[in-house]
Amino acid sequence: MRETSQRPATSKAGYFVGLGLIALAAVIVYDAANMQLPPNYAAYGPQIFPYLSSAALVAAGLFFLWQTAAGRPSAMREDTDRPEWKGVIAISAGLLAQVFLIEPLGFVISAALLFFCVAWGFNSRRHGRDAIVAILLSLATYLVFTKLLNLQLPPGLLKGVI
Amino acid sequence: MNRRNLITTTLALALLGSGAAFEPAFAVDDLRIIAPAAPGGGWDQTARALEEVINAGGLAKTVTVENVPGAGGTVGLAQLVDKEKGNGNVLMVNGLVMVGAIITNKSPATLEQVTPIARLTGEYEVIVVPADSELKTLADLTAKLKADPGSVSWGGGSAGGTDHILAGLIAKAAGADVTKLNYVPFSGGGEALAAILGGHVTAGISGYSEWAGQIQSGELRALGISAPARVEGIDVPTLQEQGIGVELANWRAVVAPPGLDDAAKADLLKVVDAAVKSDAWKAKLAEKKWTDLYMAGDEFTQLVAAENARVTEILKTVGLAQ
Amino acid sequence: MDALDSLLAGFVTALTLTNLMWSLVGVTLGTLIGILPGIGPALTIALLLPVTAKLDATGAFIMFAGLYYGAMYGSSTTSILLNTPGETGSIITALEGNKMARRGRGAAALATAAIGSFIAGTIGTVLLTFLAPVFVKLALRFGPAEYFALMVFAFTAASALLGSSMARGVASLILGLVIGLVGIDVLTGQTRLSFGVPALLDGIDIVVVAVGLFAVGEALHIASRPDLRDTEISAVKGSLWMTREDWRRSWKPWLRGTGLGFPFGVLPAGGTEIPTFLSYFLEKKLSKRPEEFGQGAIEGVAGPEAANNAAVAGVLVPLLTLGLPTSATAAILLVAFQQYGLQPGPLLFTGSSSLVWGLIASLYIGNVMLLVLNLPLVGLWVRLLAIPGPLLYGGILVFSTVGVYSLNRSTVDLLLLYLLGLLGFVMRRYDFPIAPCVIGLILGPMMEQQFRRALQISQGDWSVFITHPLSLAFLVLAVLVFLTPFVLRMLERRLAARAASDVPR
Repeated sequence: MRETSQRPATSKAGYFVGLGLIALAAVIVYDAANMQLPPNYAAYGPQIFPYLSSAALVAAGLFFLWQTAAGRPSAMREDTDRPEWKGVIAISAGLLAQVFLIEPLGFVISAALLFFCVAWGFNSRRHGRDAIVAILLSLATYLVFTKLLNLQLPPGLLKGVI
Repeated sequence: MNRRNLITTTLALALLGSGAAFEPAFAVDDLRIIAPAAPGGGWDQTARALEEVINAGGLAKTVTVENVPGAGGTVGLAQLVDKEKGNGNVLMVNGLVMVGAIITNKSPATLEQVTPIARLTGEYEVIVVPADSELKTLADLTAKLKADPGSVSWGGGSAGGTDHILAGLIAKAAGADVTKLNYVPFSGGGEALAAILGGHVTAGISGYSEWAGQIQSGELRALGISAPARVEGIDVPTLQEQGIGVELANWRAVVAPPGLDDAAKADLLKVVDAAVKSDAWKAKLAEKKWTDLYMAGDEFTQLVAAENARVTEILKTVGLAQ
Repeated sequence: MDALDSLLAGFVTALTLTNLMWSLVGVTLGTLIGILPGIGPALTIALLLPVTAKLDATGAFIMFAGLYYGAMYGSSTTSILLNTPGETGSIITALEGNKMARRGRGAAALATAAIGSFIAGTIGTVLLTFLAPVFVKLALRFGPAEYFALMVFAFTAASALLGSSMARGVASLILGLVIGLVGIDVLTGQTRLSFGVPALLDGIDIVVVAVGLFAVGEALHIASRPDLRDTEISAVKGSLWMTREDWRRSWKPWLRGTGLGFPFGVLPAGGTEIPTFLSYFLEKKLSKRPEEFGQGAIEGVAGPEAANNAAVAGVLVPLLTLGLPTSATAAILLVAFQQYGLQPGPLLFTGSSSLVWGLIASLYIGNVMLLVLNLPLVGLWVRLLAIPGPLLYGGILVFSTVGVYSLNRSTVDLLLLYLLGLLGFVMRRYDFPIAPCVIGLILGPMMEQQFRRALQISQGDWSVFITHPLSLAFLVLAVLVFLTPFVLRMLERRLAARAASDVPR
C-alpha cells in the first residue's frame, strides 16, 4: 500500500536528512568530549560507543548528501501527496496540552482535551459525540488507575471531587 | 486562583456535607509519601508499608504513595527540593543509595537541603564467592586483593551504589590500592547473581536477603557480613571479627521538604513515630525481614552528615567523584 | 519425588475452583494490560502486591502467572490490528501482522498468534517442568564475553529487518543506538546526552520510544493522509479463520520460534525482544517467498509470537530453580515470594513444593484458558477496526499517554513521547523503517555494557572474545550470516558470467 503511494524523492529532503544526521553526530561528539573521566576507566570507557555511533552517523549522513547531490534519488523516498497539516497540528496540540496541562488541570481534563483534539484531527464532525466519549473515557481511565490500581494520576482542578 | 479555590471548596463542601466538622484532628491531614523509585523496589516497599501502617493506625486522614523513579532517587529528590518546599504534608523515602547517587550524578539537590525526619530500617551487606571458588575465607580474598587489586573482580549493583562503596571500603581496610579496584556494576535484577554463580566474576556484594536463598542452599559461600555484630538467624561472620574494620548498613529513612518550621517537622515526626512504634509496623518488619534501625531527630541528621563524608571520600578514591 | 508425580500433585492444587478463578482473573487482567501500551505485567504485579497480601500464596501466584502470560497474548492483538505494540516483545509482530490486518486478514493473524502463543507457552512449560536444571546450567555459562558475541550475532540478524533500502534501514538502526546512549552509563556512572535534565538520567525508556514511534507516529501519519484516514479497513476479507494454507505455513515457525524464545528467556540478560527478531530473520531466510515479507507474510507473525511466549516461560526457569530474576517482571515476582515469607532460590522447590508445582500446573491451565478466551474473541477483536478512526485513535493516544506518564510520573516523558512521535511521522513520510530503530535501542546498550564489562573483568585483555568457546562460536556464526549473502551473490555472478560466455560457442 505504502509502496504505491511513495516515489523516489525529487525534493531536497536528502540534504536535510544528511545534514541532520551529521548535526546529531556533532552533538554526540561534543557531549562525549566533555566527560570528566576517572583515569582508570579511560581504556574502555563510556566514550567509545558515542564516538563509534557518531562516526556511523556521519557516514550515513554523507551517503545521503552524496546520493542527493549526484541526483541519485534511490536512497530517499517520500510520500507523493502533500500532508494534510490540519491533522498533524490538531494531534500535536492535543499531545502538548497533555504535557503542559496534566499537572495543573489534572488528568481527566487534559486527557479529554487530547481525545477531542485527536478526533478533530481525524476530521470528525460529530463534536458532541466526541466530547462525551472524551469525558467518559478519561474519567473511567482516571478512576481505574487511582482507585483500582492505586496508581496516582494528577487530580488537578477536580481534586477532592473525584 | 480565587475562583478556582472557590469552586473546589464549594464542591468539596457539597460532597462532604456537614460530617466534616466531627472528624478528629490529625497531626497531618493528607499525607503524601514519595517513593523515589519504581513500584516493587526497596524504597517503594518501604513507602507502601508505611502507608499501610499509617492507614491501619488512623494516623492521618488520607495517605497516598507516589512513585517518582529515576537516577538513584535523585529525580525524586530534585522534585522534593524544587516543588514541595515548605509543604508539611509530604514525606520522601530515601537511603544510603541516594547519598552515593547524589555524588556520582552530581545532583544539584542534596540531602543537606531537606528536612531529616527519621531512619527507619536497614539491611546489612554480604560478601560472597561461588561455591567452587578457591577463596575459602575473607582472609583469602583480602590477601588476593592486596597482592593484585585488579585480579579480584567484584560483581554488584550500580556504580557508586552501596555495593560499590562497600567494595571500596573493604579494599581500603585490607590495605590494597583502592584506585585499582576492579568493580563491575551490573544493571539490577539477577545479572550480578548469574555472573557470580557462573564464575564470571571473583566475588559478589549485595544486601543479605537478596542472596539468602543461594547462601542457604550452598551455591554461594558467604565470606562476611557488614554488620557491627552477628545478626540473629544469619550464620555469617562479620567483617569486624575477621579483622576488616568496616561496617555498613544500607539504611532507609524518611525525609521532608526543605523550609519546614519546627512545628511542621514535629507533626511529621509524630506521625512517623506513632507508625514505627505500632505493632503493625513490627509485623511488617518481621514479614519483610527488615532490621529495625529507627533513629529520629538530630541523631539522624548527624548520621546523614557522617555517611556523606565517608561515601564522598571512598567514591573520590575509586574515581567516581571529583 | 519425580517431576511427573509432582506435576500431577500440582494439578490437584491448581484445579480447585478458587484457583481456577484466580487463573481466569489473571489471564483476563493480563490480556487487558497487554493491550495498553506502557502498562506492563511488572508494574501491574507490583501494584497488585499490597492488594494480594491477604490472599493465600498459591492463589496469588497462579493469578500472577496468568497475568504474565496474558500480557503477551494481549499485546499481540493491538500490534496486529493497530500497529501499536502493547509490549516490546510484540514489536516485530506488528511488521507483518498489521500488513495482514490491512488486507482483511487480521483474524488469521490473530489466530496464528494465539495458537502459536499457546503452543510455545505449552512447550515452554513442558521444558520448564522437565529440563529446567539443564537449561539453567547452560545459561550460567554466559558471561559478558558470551553476551557480547551473542549481541553481535543478533545485530547481523537484524539485517532482515532493514526494509527496502539498506541506507535508510541502517540510518534508523543508528538512531536507535544513539537513543540508547542517553542517560547514566551503567559501568562508570557518567551521564551521557542528558544535558542536565534529571528525567533523562535513567535514559529514555524503551516503552516511550516504542509507543512514540509506533502509536503516536502512526496516528500523526494517518491523520496527515486523507487517503489512509478515510479508507475504511474491512475487518474481514475472505475466510475469517486460518485457511489450510495458513496452517501449513504456520506450524514450522511456531516450533522454530519456540526453540529460539525459550533459551533466550532462560538467559539472565536475554529478554523477550531479541528472540522475536531472530525468529523473523530465520523465517525470512527459510521462506520460499521472502518477497512476501513486508507485505504480510503469516510466518512473520507465527514465529515471533511463539518466540515471545516461549521466552516468558523461559524466564521462569532461573527464577524458580535459582531464585534468579531475569526480567523486570521476574524481579517483582521475587518480591512477591518474599512477601509470603518464601525464600526464593534453590530451596523453593523443596521447601514449598506444592506452591511451585501448583504454579507450574497453573501455567498449563492458563495457556488453555488464554486460547479459549482469545480464539472466539478474534472475531470480536477485529471489530475494533470498525470503531470510527477519530474515536479509535483518540482512545489509543489517551491510553498511550497514561501508560507513558505512569512509568515515571514525568511530563518530560510525555514531551519525549510527542517528539518521538514526530520522528516516527517523519520517518514514515520518507519511508524509513521503524523497527531497526527500536532494535538498535534494545541491542545497543546491552552490547556496549557487555563488551566493556568483559574487558573490565579481563583487565583489558581482548582475547576473551575468542578464547571463550561459546563467544567464538557466536562470532563465527555472525561472520557467516554477514558474509553468506555476498559470497552467494558473487558465486551467482560468476556462474552467470560463465554461462553467458558458454552460450556463444
